Amino acid sequence: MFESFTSDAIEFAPVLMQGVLTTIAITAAALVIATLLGMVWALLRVSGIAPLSHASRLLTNVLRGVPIIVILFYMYFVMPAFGVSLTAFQAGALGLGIAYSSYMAEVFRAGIDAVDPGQYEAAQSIGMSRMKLMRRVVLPQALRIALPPYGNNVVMMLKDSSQTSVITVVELSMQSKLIAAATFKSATIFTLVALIYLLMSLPMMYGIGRLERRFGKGK
Amino acid sequence: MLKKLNVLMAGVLCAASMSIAHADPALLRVGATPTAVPFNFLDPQTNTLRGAMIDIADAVGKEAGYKTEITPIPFASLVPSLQTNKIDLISSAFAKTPQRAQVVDFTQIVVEYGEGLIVPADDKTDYKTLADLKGKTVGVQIGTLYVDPLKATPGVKEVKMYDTMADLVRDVSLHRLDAAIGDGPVIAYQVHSQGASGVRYVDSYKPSLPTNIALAVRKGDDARRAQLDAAITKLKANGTIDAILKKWNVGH
Repeated sequence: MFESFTSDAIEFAPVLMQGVLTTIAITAAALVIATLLGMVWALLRVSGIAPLSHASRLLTNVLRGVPIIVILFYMYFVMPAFGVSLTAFQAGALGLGIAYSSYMAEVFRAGIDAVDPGQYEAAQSIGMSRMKLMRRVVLPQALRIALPPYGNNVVMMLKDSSQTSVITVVELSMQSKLIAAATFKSATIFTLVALIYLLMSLPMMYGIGRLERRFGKGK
Repeated sequence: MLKKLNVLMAGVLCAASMSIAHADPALLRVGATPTAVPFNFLDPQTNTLRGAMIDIADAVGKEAGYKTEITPIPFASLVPSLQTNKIDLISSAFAKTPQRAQVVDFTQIVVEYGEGLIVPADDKTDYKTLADLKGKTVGVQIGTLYVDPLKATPGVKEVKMYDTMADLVRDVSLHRLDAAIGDGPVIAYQVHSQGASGVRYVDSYKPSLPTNIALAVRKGDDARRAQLDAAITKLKANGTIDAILKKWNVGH
């Protein structure tokens, strides 16, 4: 059993590695999009301007309430009807990024809210503008607080990148399903895939853990 | 007379497409769901798509003057991909049905085959028809034509739905299912070529639900359909299609 597992693993690994590269690329692209958009939503939310913060809250709630798979389908199969035709990879990265921007926004907002009100008052008392106050005083502290849940989202995003397979992105999980269908060795292949996802996510968790220890709150 | 006319038309269209072929061949983007050995599957050794429908797409495309490019696409995304212009042709184990003919246009039939039955190896009964499955828990693959007839068969205890043939075979061998119905060539290939242990291919079973596989183009893409139809007619006449089907052991 174990011998055939190793020989199969050696046979399938090169093909799976191509899926791994796509998985990493799509997760990285989506992470950039999710982080930037999430920051925008969070800043709108705490802007103190009622229409903007309401709009931001509505948007993040809608995005959080819709399954990622539906957002992906929309990006790839519905947007062409409006004249926006993306490749599978672009639609996957954008869809995943937009879906996760809502979770990232919540993480950033919670971080901003957790900064002690005294800090705002102190900054205002020395005449800082609202922009400057956010940039110099609140955000640096908020990001530290947000780091652990942010890292959590990144790991979830890596795993959710498998959902882009429905819109024909040939990433790790799609590649593994195809090999399983061709060889009927499901047990071997899915064990291999679990190990590969772990090999990607464990270093990521470790890295985020180090960042937390370095910049984390109260250190 | 009509047949002669057809041949003539085919000839004219072929001549037309041949003249195109001399120029740079146009690209034909083909979608296939590579989860059905031996129709289409991913060959892990070479990381390329192979199978009967891949060979057919290549041969028909070439005959019609195209250069084919094949993309793996999950079954549920085949039709949307065609409709949103991501691909030009479906060449997969995608059967011609009246419902599907409303959303895509089919060429003539390329392959025909019936369903196959597998049971656990220790079940020696010689099943012949669906009606013999009385009192059994039977598995079937989602998206195949066998789901509704099986549900309509009186006396079948439970019909369970599965994503892939591999899952069906595993659950039969584990006795979670008493029997499974699937595409004859796919089941036969898996049981005979891959040596699936613990299951038996029921040779006495007589298929009653024919599946007709045709190529599918976008609704209204008549020019391309005529072109491909003509190519298929020619390849059927000169034995190319039969040779491909024989190579992969499917059909007839």
